Amino acid sequence: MPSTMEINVHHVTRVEGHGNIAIRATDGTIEKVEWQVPEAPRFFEAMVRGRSYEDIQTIVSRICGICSITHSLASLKAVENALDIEVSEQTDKLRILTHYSEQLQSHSLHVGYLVSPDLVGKKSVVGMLGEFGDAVKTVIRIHRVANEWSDLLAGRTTHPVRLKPGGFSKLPTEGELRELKGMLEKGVDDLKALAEVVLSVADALPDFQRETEYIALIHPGVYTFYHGSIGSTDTAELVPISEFERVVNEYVVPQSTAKWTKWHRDAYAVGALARFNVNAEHLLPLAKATAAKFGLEKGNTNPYMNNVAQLVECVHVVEASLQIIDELLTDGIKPEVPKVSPKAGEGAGCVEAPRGILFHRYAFEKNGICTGANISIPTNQNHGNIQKDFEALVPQIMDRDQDEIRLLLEMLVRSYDPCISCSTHYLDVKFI
Amino acid sequence: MAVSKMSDVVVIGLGNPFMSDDGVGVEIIHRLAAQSSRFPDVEFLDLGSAVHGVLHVVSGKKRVILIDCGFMDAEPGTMRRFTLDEVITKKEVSGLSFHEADLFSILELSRRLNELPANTIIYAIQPQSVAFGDTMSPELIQQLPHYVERIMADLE
Repeated sequence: MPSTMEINVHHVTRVEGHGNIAIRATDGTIEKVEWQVPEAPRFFEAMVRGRSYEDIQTIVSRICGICSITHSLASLKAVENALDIEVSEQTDKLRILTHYSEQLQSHSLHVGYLVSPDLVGKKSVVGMLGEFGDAVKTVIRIHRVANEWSDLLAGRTTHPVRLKPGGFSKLPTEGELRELKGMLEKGVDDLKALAEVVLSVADALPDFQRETEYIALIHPGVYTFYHGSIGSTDTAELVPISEFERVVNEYVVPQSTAKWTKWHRDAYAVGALARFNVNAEHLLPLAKATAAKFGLEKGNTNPYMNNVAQLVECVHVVEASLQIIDELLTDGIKPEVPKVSPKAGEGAGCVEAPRGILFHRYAFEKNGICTGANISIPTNQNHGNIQKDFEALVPQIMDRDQDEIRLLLEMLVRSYDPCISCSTHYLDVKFI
Repeated sequence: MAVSKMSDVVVIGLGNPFMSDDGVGVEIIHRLAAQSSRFPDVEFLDLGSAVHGVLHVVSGKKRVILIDCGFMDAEPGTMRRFTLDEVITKKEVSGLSFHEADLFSILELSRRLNELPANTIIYAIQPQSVAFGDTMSPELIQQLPHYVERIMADLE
């Protein structure tokens, strides 16, 4: 009798859009190793055609309920690039401050709600409440601070309403910024506590290495999420955002309806570990110390460590934000009215989403109506790399129990913090 | 519709206006917010697809109303009002991404933290279609005034 091992993580849902894991082996011979992504195509590129440049950021903010500020900012940078709109230094700083709130929102949720249960052997964050109740409450406090931070600057905790071409529709007051500063200073202790808890269970992160190309924004002297050019661990070349298509090189594979990407190798990775591997020397002191506690060093090629890099970034964005708030308070908040007039043009914009580099491109006719769009999301850029990780990891763990193999592969996917099936959150209920 | 910490009652619309009928909760919350002068002590929040945010905005409230699109084996356009204990969730999530969270898991977390008000009500509207698109189905559009009236009656 041949011994067959088959793993299928495949869920039937009302709306297509999940990633599936499919592994099959007979008598120790691997016959199939696939990361399948039947993601429903994102129709947002079509949705913005025919709309005014003023409405783009509002529409694309609904692509995702987690990275809505990020999509808004990438689109605003692309619109401003297309229409030659200059923004002030104050707007720049306030946008970066807003963007950091979303990095903290997203990373704290991902590490706290989705990754931590794996590390402590629980099925979900609800299951952690008894034994790890204090840690869960710490995560919730951090996420709550991040939400209030977004609300204060963007006018909503998600799907921002104050980010506009050229600036903000409403500016925060200096009093609000001082209040935010107090909140963030208190939050530092919670972040330190969370880091200690994760460190105490970090041995549960699998030790798996695979040489990988990492891609992230690079900007002189800064651990950047907002400004810069496209950089890679495989080259010293810096590619301008306007040429992002020659970095992503999107292509189609039979196992996925999402487009995959590659640059110097057959796949590349984006996200917190990519940013760390490209920019670690620019982390602020407490973030650097947090990375050192985990032994995370530049050049790390263990994808599971992306979660540790996310934790490091949580610390960094709070430190960086405290600096920005001080600068804004020193200069004083000056009233500004964005000055924008439509014209024909085309432009690209890029920011680092929590889960990796994100590109938007739009074209406009002279009245500012959008005629075309192209959006390249980080999760799609990671799909090819997840497949390559699977191909390298499965032979190394073939002798393990089938449930353990399944868990290790699920943890691998989770470590990339993928944005799948996030456009909708309908209920599905049965009355009892 | 920014977060206010003063009111005891919060009404939350969930969904995505660019996923056709999935956006019904958001459409209703905007129509309710337009009448907010009639309800000075009520907070109306469009949380969109940010289901995890529910955990924070219900904390400290006395009364919560959630409005969302929901598959309930009913005729498209049907709105039902229920409590958490009257339903079980059938939603399958792969667990591979926290973007696909089920509202009920967030409400359960809130309840276990003793943060969920006992007076928490869900209004769900059965969709005709949940697919990319910025227009809802006629079955839902024609009943929007009815949905809004019924929820307002609950608030009065």
